[in-house]
Amino acid sequence: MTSFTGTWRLTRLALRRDRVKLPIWILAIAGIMLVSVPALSDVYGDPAAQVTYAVTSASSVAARVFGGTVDGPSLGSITMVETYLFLAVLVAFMSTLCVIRHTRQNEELGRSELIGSTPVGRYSELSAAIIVSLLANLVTTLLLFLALSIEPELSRSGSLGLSLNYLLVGISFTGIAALTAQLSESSRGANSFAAIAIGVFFVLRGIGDAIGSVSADGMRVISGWPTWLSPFGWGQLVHPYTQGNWNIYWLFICFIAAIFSVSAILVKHRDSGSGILPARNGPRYAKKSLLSVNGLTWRLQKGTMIGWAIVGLALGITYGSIANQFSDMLETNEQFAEFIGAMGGQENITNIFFGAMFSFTAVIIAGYGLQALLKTRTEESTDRLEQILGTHVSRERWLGSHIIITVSGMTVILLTIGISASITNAIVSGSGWNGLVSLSLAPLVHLPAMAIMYGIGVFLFGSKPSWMIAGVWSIFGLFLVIGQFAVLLKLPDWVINVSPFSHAPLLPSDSLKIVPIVALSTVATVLILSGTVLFRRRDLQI
Amino acid sequence: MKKGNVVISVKGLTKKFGNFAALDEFNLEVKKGEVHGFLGPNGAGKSTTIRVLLGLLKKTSGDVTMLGKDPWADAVELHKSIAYVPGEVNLWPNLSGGEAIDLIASLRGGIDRKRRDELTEAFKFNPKKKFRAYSKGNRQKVAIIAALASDVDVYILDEPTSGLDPLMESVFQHYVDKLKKKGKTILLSSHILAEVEKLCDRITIIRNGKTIQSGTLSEMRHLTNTTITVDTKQPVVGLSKVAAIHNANIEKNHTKFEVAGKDLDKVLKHLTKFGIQSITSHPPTLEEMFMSHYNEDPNLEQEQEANKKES
Repeated sequence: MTSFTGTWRLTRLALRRDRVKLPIWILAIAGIMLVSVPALSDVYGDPAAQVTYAVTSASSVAARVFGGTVDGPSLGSITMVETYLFLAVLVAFMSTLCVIRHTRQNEELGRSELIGSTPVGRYSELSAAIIVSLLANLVTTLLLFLALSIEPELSRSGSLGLSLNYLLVGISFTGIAALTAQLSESSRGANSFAAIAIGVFFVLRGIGDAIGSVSADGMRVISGWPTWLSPFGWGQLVHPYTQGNWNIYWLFICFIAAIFSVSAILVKHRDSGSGILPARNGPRYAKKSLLSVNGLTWRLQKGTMIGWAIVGLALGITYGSIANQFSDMLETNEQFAEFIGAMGGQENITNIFFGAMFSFTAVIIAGYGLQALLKTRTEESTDRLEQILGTHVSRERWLGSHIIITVSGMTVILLTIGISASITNAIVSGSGWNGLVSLSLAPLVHLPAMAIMYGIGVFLFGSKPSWMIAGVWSIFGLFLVIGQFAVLLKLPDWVINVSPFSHAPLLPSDSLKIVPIVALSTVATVLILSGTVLFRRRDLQI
Repeated sequence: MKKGNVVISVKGLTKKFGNFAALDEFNLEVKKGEVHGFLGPNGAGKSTTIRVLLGLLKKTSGDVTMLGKDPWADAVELHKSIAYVPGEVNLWPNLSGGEAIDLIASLRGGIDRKRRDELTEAFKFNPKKKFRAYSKGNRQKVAIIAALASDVDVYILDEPTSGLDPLMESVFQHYVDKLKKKGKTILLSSHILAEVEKLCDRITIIRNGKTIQSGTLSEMRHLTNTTITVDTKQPVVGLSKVAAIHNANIEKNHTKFEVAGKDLDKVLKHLTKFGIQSITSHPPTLEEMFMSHYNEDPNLEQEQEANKKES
């Protein structure tokens, strides 16, 4: 028996377990590329548009932080900026979640102990997880390459380079997850460490790009040194379509070799079930604030809410800081100058920008509601709800506490976006504090539509809990597609009208209309209340 | 028996999941102040019964009352008077054991802090670990301490000691005994027969969703076979005409057989006719008794064989 005995069997087991999860990840990532490539060549096909893009992108700090560095006016350079970072982050998450699912999660749940007692080697479980993640990344890379190959104007070598970037980023974060899985005793902790690593590498690269210098023609950004500290940055520095600095791949290879070696050493030197970092203890007694249904729900929900509020804050600051540039960009373009005049001047353009952004963001933030709602199902299926309902707590009160805290959470996150966007905009544009309050409150107009999506979830929870997870994410996907691609895919009106998000006025550019808001709120209330009543009447389903 | 004396009354309870009847005309009666053992093989329907009693599952048909109320309709009101320990304790991984105990007891209506501390001490429980770090036995202790620290009328305990070491088991038995002396009513589901024998006044055995037996242990012993070994001056004859005997083995003057407790009297009278020289009788051990109830239901076996022949 070697240290790797049984790896192949464990790999097959892991693939069997992931037969739905990984294909969804892979198809989603490849699908985004498949939709983006023709859309980009459509919009930025002609050289003039490419120049405008390069200049705007290079001059905007926000664009550099969130999109990376543009490298001259070409479709390849633009495709790189528009797709690379976003998809690389998705690839990173796919890899870390996959590795931790098949290592630390097994260990935490005691599965590894049973498996470890059979003839399998010390490294087999980690190796199997890494192999599965590698396979997923290889398939993703292949599909991404095919999607890029559809566009003839993108060079074959550049597309191959961009695809390889994804593969190497994927393997790097596979390695990072292999390491974080050794650190914490819980899969939650291991996933948090991995997510923090993704965040830190993203930010390092963002800082590097933000402090980078712009070339004399104003169409090229040379990254600052912090970009060199991040795997996300390395992929960018390769500039596959424009420079082809293939030597940078050695950085990836050294990093990957080092991180895999360190994880292997840690596996060898720790006990099964334990982490390198000691588990923290909790308090001996509960605080008074925990000792109620609301206290417990808040304790379970606050992490999710705070996480999303931080996302909201980042989005709000981004919108606020680029709104001004958005209208500037349109002004410099002669075609748009006329358009701006027709729309009522620059102030209105900024408002249109905010209106569109808030509407788009509301669909995403509705995902917070669903994530929070799914915790109710988790409580039920893990027997924890049984304990709660075995005490002097009614079902309505328990579900009600989740509903109230989540709907309040949605309100807080929308307000966070509005307030941070309006304050940032006031500072960046120097437009003063006029309209600050109305802009801050504008995102709230989407709360009823978000509540409808949440209400559909509550209704499913009450009526058909086994369908709930698949149901809510399908509806989320549907509304997201309708919101994002309605125009691009030329969807008919009735399809667009299916989404509640299509009916809210786009504040602050539209005027406030009461009827749709009341109608949407009524539908949401009916859904939530009927879901609660149905839950009162059904068996618990464990 | 007076009606007010019955705490849990289950009559003809049926619970179906789809076409499968987890409980099939099941009966159970628990009187005030008794410790009632609830036994049966795995998958017999014990936990389903308990979940119906807690109003977590809705009965398909039958009559169920607890403290005179309907466990489904009056669940919340009833739960003020009930403490429950589930068979598998699963709580929030990021709460400490101490927090979980305080929380559950408080939701039930209040916690006796002094008693909680005493119990924590008695069960040698470290309340400061996060829930995910506890072993099975320690997870069980969280629910046990939370239940025992609540002052209620009815305790529903679903295999509470599974995973506890023998020392902790005896601590648990000590506290159940105290509750009994205070006149509390306890429904105790368990696989540990010694525990059942020590604590329970009456027991109900369930199998395949049906009540197989209900009564005190001595009543049940009476219904189970006793093994008798006897040496006589003359060979024993005609025994099977007197009563139903099992596994009979007659060699000249040495006879060994099994007979139901209710027929003992008749059989002994018959044996005296042959001149008894020595006799030993060996009542069923608890294990033998339960094995016979869990396994060897002649009616059921006949049924199964009939089914086999049909197919």
